[in-house]
Amino acid sequence: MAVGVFRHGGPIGYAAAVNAGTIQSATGGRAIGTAPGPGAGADAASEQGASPIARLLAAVRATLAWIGAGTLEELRYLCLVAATVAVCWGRALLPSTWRPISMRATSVQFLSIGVEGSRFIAIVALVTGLAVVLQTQLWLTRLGQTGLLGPILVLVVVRELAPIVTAFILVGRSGAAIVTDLGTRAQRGEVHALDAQGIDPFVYYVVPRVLAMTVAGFVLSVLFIFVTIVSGYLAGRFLDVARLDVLSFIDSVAGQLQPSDALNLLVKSVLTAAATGAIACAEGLSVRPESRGAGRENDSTGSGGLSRAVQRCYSRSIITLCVVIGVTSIATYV
Amino acid sequence: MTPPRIQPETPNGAGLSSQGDRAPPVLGVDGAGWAARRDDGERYDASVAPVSFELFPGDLLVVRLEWPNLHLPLADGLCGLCPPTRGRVRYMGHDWASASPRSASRLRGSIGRMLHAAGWMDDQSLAENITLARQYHAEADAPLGAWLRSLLTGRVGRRAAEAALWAQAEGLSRVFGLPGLPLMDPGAALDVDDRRSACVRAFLGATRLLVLERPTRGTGVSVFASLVNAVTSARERGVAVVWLTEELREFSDPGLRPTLRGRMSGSQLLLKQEDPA
Repeated sequence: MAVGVFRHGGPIGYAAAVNAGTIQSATGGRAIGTAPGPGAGADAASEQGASPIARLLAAVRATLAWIGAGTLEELRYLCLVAATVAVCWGRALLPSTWRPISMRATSVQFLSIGVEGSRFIAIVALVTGLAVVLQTQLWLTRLGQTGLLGPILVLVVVRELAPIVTAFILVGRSGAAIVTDLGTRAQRGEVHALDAQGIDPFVYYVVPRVLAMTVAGFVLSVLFIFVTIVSGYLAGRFLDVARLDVLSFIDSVAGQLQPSDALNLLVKSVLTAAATGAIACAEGLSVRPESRGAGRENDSTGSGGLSRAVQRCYSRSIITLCVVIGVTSIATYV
Repeated sequence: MTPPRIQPETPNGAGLSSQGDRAPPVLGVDGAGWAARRDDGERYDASVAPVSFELFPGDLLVVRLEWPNLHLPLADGLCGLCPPTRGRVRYMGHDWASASPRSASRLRGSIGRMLHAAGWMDDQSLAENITLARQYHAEADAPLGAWLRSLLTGRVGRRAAEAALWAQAEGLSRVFGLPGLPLMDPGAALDVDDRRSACVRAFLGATRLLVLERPTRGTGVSVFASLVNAVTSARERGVAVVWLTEELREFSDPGLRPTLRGRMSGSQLLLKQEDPA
């Protein structure tokens, strides 16, 4: 039963009602601490004095329901992310989106995510090149299988490593930054102020970030591949491990590249980066100001709400990128 | 022309109209009430019970808020940011409930708003914050051809429009007691300058409706006189104004000459028609 104290009579949040031993929120009437969990059905069965088999069945049913509800929620969230990305790309095609202030906001995001992120990607790619390419050259030379260098590098670096590492870096570096930025803006009331002035927060905040992530995802993946392979080869030459000259090395790698590799790289890097951008924007904008959010009931208020939004962004982005990369690899190569 | 109905304090839903049938109303509220909690999770400090009234061009509704610092959904509700739980709100003949997000944004572009909290963007100067919305709405949605033409030839025109906007903002800054358009970051401004800048932002551009939420809070009397003058001049241009205040001094100031007075009593908005003359 919803108990609304002062619903139409005065300030809310100043009082709570006690009803049959359960504390209920003054605003929504939702009982605190009564969310159904995996054992909810079993508890109900045991309370009614049912047989052990009935209790077991109830527990199994409740557990399956819990797993199903969680799965459905994640699927709904994936649909929301896909819809957000699609709307962002669609809005990017509309001239009305590209007002001067939107273009300025987009260029700032390109600078922050793409240009500034390229240094970090280059460093990681350098280390990866030293580790992976150098090791590959070393062992293939010892085994006398230098002809396999190209296929192995394409398989490891181009098909899998580049999109995965780039996506992880974008999640950790840019995704977290977007959540924090938008969450702080939402807490300070900037999003509400924009909306009140008729500036669509979706156009001003979400579209530039998702677009910048989309382009940066692909460009940074290509940069990662380039730096990894070049640094690995140069290290091999410097340490006198590489037996192939430059042209033979380039030929052995480039000769193994198929159109499906380019498509695979494009799909993986673009989709994971765009999804990360959409998730980060959604989580950041879900943070509510301390004084007026619903966060006291849904964990989205204040600094605690912000840190939880960052956590949710990270875990949901990782799940999404695993799904995208797995599905794309299977669809492309199996 | 129907003479204005002067009534004693009217309970919610009685339906007050300040000006017979002279012109279509800027704002029409038909039995609209707002809950403290919105469907999207946003929450206010109290609800507002159903109320009906109409504001015509040049009208002024002054509402005295009973509780200081209590954030009500009234201003957001009038601007279509908080959907009513019942009834409807029409702005310039458009029902907020049936307006698409894009057309709602465009409509809100013609509302000057002083917010409960200023909501400045910290990565931009106050001047950029002030002119942001007007710049955004200056370039209306245009077909592709017009857009391409503006890309090729409109740079000079855009710069001229931007300069005119900045000049207008600078003039308004002086009206509200600032030495010029404030170029500092929002965090570096004094509270009183922050509020003055919010006044400039609300009055900038061609607005049809002004919604002023506690416009003089924290400023003492320093902004009030300028604000009354600016509101009077806006009303003469046909702008309808809603002024929410917790100050009895402002509410009962004879210089305001409102057409409607309202008083929040709990969640009830009690309205009384006034004779502006």
